[in-house]
Order: sequence, then C-alpha cells, then structure tokens
Amino acid sequence: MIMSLASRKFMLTMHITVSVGWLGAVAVFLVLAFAAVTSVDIQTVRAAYLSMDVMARFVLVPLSLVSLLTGLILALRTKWGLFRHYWVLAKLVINVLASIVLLIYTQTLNFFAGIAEQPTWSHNDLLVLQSPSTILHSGAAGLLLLIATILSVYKPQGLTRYGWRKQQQRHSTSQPVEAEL
Amino acid sequence: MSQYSPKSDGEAVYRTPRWVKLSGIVILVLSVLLAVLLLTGDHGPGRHLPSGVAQDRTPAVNATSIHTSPVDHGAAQP
Repeated sequence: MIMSLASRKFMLTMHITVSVGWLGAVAVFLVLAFAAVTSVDIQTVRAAYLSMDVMARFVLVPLSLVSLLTGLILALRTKWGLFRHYWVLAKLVINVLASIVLLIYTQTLNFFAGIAEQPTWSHNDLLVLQSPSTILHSGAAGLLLLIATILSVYKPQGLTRYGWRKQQQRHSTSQPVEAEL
Repeated sequence: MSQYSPKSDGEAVYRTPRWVKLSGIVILVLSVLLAVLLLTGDHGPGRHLPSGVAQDRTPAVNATSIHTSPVDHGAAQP
C-alpha cells in the first residue's frame, strides 16, 4: 500500500537526516581515528579511543539502524519498491553491509578503548593502539556512504529483471483497455 | 542508452545497465582483494581476544608521551 504524500515526506526527511548524519558522524570518527593513531600525546590517544568507542555505540549504530529502517519503509511503501531499481538495491546492500561491519567492529573498538584507558601500556598495547584499523574502517565506511548519497541524488536509471517484469505486467494489463478504445 | 533492446519481432529484451555491470566488476575485484587480505592476514575482532599466553607488561610509555622503542628496566632514558 502506497504512503500518503505527507507520510512520504516525513519519512523521507527522517531518512535523509539520519543517513547524512551517519556520514557526518563517520567523518568525525575518521578525524578521531587519525588523532588516535598519529598523536604522541598519551591523553590525546586515550581520549580519542574512548570517544570512538562511545561514538560507535551511541551515535553510529543507532543512525545506521534508523537509516536502514526508514529506507526499507520508503522503498516498500512507495512506487520505487525494494528490488525494482538498481540504485535502490545498491543502497540497500551498502546499508546492510555497513551496518553489519559496524556492529561487529564495535567489539574491536571496545577492546581498543579497554587498552587505552589502562594507566600504563606495554609495547604490545602500543602496537595495537597504533594500528591503522580505525582509519581504514572509517575511511571505507565514509566512501560507501558517499556512494549511497550520490545514488540517492542522481538515481541512475536501470530496472532489475524483477522490476522490468513488473513493468511489463503493468503494461500488458493496461493494453486490453487501450485496444478496446 | 536504453535498457531494452527490441527483438526482430518488436518485443523488448531486457539488458543490464552498463553502470551496473561496471560496478559489479569493481565490486568483484575489491572482494577478491579483500578475501586475499582476510585469508593471508589476521583479521577480525577475535585477534584481540586474550590467548592465555602471558604478554609483556613492561610499560613502553612514560607519563606524557609515546616512545617508539620499548623501555627496558634500568636503561637510561633519553
């Protein structure tokens, strides 16, 4: 069942807000990651890892899940559908993939934060904290979300086979009426 | 470019859009690279879990800054 115009605008506003907010949060996370990996000041490194841990759990994960939910509602309750257009399908894949990796990565971030908050660090701890893992993961996430944003605006043409079959079915059911006219 | 190619009898034939094909190739290449990385390296949150082996707890950092070389007990500080 198709949403009313008012509901669609509300849901679209929510989806854009949380999705672009997610991209912005990833940009902030990337800056923290750079600070954590490159700084030689212990307090800065500690603060950056603790911030990243909190940010992931209370900002990134909620935003990603709400973006996925609002996206699903918009796809299923509007003419676009979830599997009819390649740009919608691509965004769905990006969102699901990024959300899964993010949920798994929160464990890693929690581990990093646990090391960072210790009063002293061993050589092994230092090697872990100076790993570029956080930079790589947040950089990749930012790139994926940027691609999703571009797809949202440009909406490149292209029906999936399923969408094309649906379109053909619609055309075939409307043609008998036209033939009679 | 149209996504639909008309056959000789006038019926439209479905074609996958070019941007989808190109994206698919890029994703495939990246997936292969990622698979190689995951198979040859130690990846995943499990690598950080304690293995039960005693680790070196000698502090490598002083109170304010990080040094790149490990600190030995009794060694003179720069």
